[in-house]
Amino acid sequence: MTRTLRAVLAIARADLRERTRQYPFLWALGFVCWLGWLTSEGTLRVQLGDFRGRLDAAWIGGSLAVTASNLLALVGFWLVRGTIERDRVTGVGQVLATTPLTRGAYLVGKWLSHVAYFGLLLALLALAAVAMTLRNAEAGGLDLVALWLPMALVALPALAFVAGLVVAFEVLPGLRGGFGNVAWFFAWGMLSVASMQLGPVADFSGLALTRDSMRAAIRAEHGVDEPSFTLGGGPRRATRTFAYGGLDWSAERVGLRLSWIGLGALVALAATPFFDRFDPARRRFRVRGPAAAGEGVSVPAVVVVRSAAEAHDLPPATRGWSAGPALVRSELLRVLRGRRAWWWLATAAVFVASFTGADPRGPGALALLWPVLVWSRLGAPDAAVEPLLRACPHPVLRPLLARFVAGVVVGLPFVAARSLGSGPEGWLVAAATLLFPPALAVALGAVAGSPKAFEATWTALWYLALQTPSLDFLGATTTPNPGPFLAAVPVLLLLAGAVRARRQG
Amino acid sequence: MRLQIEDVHKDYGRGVKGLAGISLDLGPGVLGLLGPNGAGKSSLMRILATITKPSAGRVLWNGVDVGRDPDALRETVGYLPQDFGVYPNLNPVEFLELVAAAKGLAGGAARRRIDALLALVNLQDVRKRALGGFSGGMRQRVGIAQALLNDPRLLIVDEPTAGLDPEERVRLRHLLSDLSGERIVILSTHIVSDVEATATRIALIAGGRLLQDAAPERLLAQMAGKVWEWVVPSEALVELKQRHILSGAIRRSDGVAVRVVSEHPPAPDARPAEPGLEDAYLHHVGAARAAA
Ligand SMILES: Nc1ncnc2c1ncn2[C@@H]1O[C@H](COP(=O)(O)OP(=O)(O)O)[C@@H](O)[C@H]1O
Ligand SMILES: [Mg+2]
Repeated sequence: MTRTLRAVLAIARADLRERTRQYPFLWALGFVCWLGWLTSEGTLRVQLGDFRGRLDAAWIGGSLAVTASNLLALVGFWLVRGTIERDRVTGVGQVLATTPLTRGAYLVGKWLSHVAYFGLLLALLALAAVAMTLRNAEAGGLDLVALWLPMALVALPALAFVAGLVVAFEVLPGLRGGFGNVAWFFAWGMLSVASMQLGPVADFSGLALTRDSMRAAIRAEHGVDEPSFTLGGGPRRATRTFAYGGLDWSAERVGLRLSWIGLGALVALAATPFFDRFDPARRRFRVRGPAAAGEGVSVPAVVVVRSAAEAHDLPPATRGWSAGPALVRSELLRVLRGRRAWWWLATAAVFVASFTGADPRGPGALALLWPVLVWSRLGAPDAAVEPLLRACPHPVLRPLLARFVAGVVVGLPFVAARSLGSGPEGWLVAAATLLFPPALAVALGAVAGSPKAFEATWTALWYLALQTPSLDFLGATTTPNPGPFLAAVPVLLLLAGAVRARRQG
Repeated sequence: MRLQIEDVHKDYGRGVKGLAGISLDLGPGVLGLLGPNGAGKSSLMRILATITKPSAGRVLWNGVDVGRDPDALRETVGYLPQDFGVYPNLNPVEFLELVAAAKGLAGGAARRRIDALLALVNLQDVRKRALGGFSGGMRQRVGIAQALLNDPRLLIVDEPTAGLDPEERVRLRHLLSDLSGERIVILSTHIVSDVEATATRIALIAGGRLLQDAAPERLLAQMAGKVWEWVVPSEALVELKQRHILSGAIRRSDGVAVRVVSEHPPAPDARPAEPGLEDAYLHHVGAARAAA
C-alpha cells in the first residue's frame, strides 16, 4: 500500500514539476490574474436581480470561489489536459509501463497532479482576493477565514472533480483526441445546468449552494425572494446591496463538498479499464494497399542502398510552381488520412445539412463547428516533424500559407452550401466564415504549439456567435457583422508568421 | 562549392554553451564530425542547416552569408536531424511528397525522384504502409531519403547510424561516401568506426570547441609512439583505468592485455603499438577533459 502511495505521489510530483516549468503555466497564471482583475473591476460579477452583496471578505471570497469553480473549471480542463498524451509521445509512458506501477495508480497520480496544479492556481487567486479586499472592501476587515474558506471548500472540490474528468477524457477512446476538447465545452455547459438545477447531488461546482445562501441573506435583510442569479457580465448593474455572511459550514456540508474530491479520484480510477498502458500495438494506423492484407509485413532489413551507381542515377530534382499546390495537397492529406469511415459519413451528413442555410437553430449551424478538428490540426502540426521542414526554403511563410489555404479548402464546401441561398449581401459573411477560422487556427496553432487552443477557442466562439448578435460573423442571425472578423484575417496570419519566424531564430 | 564556418558560437542561456568558437573551411568530401555526447555536434549541424542562428560568428555558403540570405543554402541543403518525427498516418510516399513540396520540387519530378529514392533505401515494398508502424531503422531510411530529395550539394546527417543494424550501418557509410564526390557531406557521430573508412577529413570536437581538424592519416601519424600494449594481472585493471587512458582490454589466460594511450611508456614492459583512430579520439578528448 505504502509502495503504491509512494508511486502515486512520485508520478504526481514529477508531472507537476514538468508542467510548472513549461511555458503554458505562465498563461494559466495569466488567465487567473485576468479573472481576478475582471472580478475586481466588476466586469465579471455575481448578481441577483438588482442585488449584489456588500463588498466584504465573505462576498468577495464567495463570488470568486464560484467564478473559479465555473470559469476556471471550463478553461482549466483545457489547460491541464494532455499529460498522458505527452507521456505517450515522449516515450516516458513506455518506461513507466515496464515498472510494477498499476494503471490505476498511474491515473490517480495524474489526477493528483491536476488537483495540485489547480491548487496552485487557486492559491494565486486567493492572494488576488486579499488584494481585492484591501482595495475594494466596503465593510469589514481582512477576514481571511471568510475570504479563503469558499476557495478551499467550494472551488477546490469542484476543480478536483473536473481533474477526474480530465483524466477520463484523456483515456476514453473517442474523447482522447481533439474531439474531447470540443466535447468538454458542451459537457461543461450541461454540468453547470445540472449543478444549478438538480439539487445538492449534482452541485459539483457549489453554485446552487452559494446561490441559495445569497438568496437567504437577501430574504433576511430585505424580505424579498430574488429568483434570478447570474455569474457573468452585462450592462445592468445592481442597485441594491445586502450583507452576505458567507456559507454556514456544517459538518454535513463540508463532508458533501469534500466528497466531490473523492468522486474526482473515483472518476479517474473508473477510466482504468480503458487505459491501454501505452501499448503501441493497441493504437491503430490506417494501412492501405496490398501490404494491408498480411499482419506484420516483413521488410528487407539489411540493405540501405542496392548499388552505389544508383545513387548517381536518380531522376533530377526539378523545381517548379506546382510545389505550391502540392504542399496544400500534402497538408490536406496529413490531416485527413487515417480518418475512419464513420467520420466521413458524419462529414457527408453535416455537408448535406449545410444546405438548410444559416438558421442558427437549424442543423446548418453545425457546418462551422464540424471542421474544427481538421483546422486545429492544420494549424498545429507535430513539432517533431518541423525540423525537417525548417531546413527548406522559405520555412516561415510557405508552410503557413499552405496550411491556411488547406483550411480554406476544408471550409469551402460547407460555406458554399450554407451561402447558396443568400444574395450578394451574404457574400461578405461567407468570406468571413471561410477565411477567419483557418487564419485563427494557424495563429493559435503557432502561438500555443498545440491544437488545443484553437479547439477550445473556436468552440466557445462558435457558441457565442450563435447566442450573441454582436459577435455574429456566421450570418446566423439577421444582423451579421463580419467586418471585424474579415479584418482579423491578415492580422492573424501576420501574427502566426511572426511567431514562426521567432521560433526559427 | 565551399562552406566556411567562421568562429561560430552558440549560447543557450543560463551559462550553457553549445559551441564556443568553431571555425572550419570545407570543400567536397565527407567530414566526420566526431565527439562525445554533448560536444556540440547537433548544435553546429542545426546552425549549418539554418534551423538555428549562431549567437556569434557566421557561416558562408559559396561566399554568401547564410545568416543574411538563408534561402540560398536552403535550396540546396539536405538535413537529417538526430531526432525527427513522422506523421503516423501517412505512408512513405505521401510523407516524402510533403517534404518535396516544402523543398519546392515540381510535382511530377518529385514523384519520380521519390520512387527512385525509395528503391535506393529499399523501402519500395512498404511504400503503402503507414509510417506509424515503422521500426526505428525503417524510419531512419525515410529520413535519409527525405534528405536526398532535392539532390543537395550540402548533406548534413546527424548521427545517421543510430538505430541501424550493423549491415545497414556499413551500407549507409558506403552510400555517403559514394554521394560525396560532387557534394559536401557532414556526418556526425560519437562512434569512431562510422567515420574510420569513409571520412576524408575528421573534425574532433568536445565541449563546444574544435580539438583537431585533419585528414585521418594525419591524426594517425600524430599518434605514432603514443599507443602501448602489455599484459597486466586482472586485479591491476581498476587502478590502471584511473591512471591512464585505456583504449582496449582483452582478457587472456595470463591476465589482461591492455592498450593504453600515453605520451610516455606507461610501464617497463609496455610495447609501442600501431595507433588507430579510436586511440586518437581518446587521446584528444581525454586531453581536453583534463584541461577543463
Ligand atoms: N535546445 C537547447 N537548450 C539548451 N541547451 C542545449 C540545447 N541543445 C543543446 N544544448 C546543450 O548544448 C550542448 C551541446 O549539445 P549538442 O549540440 O546536442 O551535443 P551533441 O549533439 O554533440 O551531443 C550540451 O551541453 C547541451 O546540453
Ligand atoms: Mg547530437
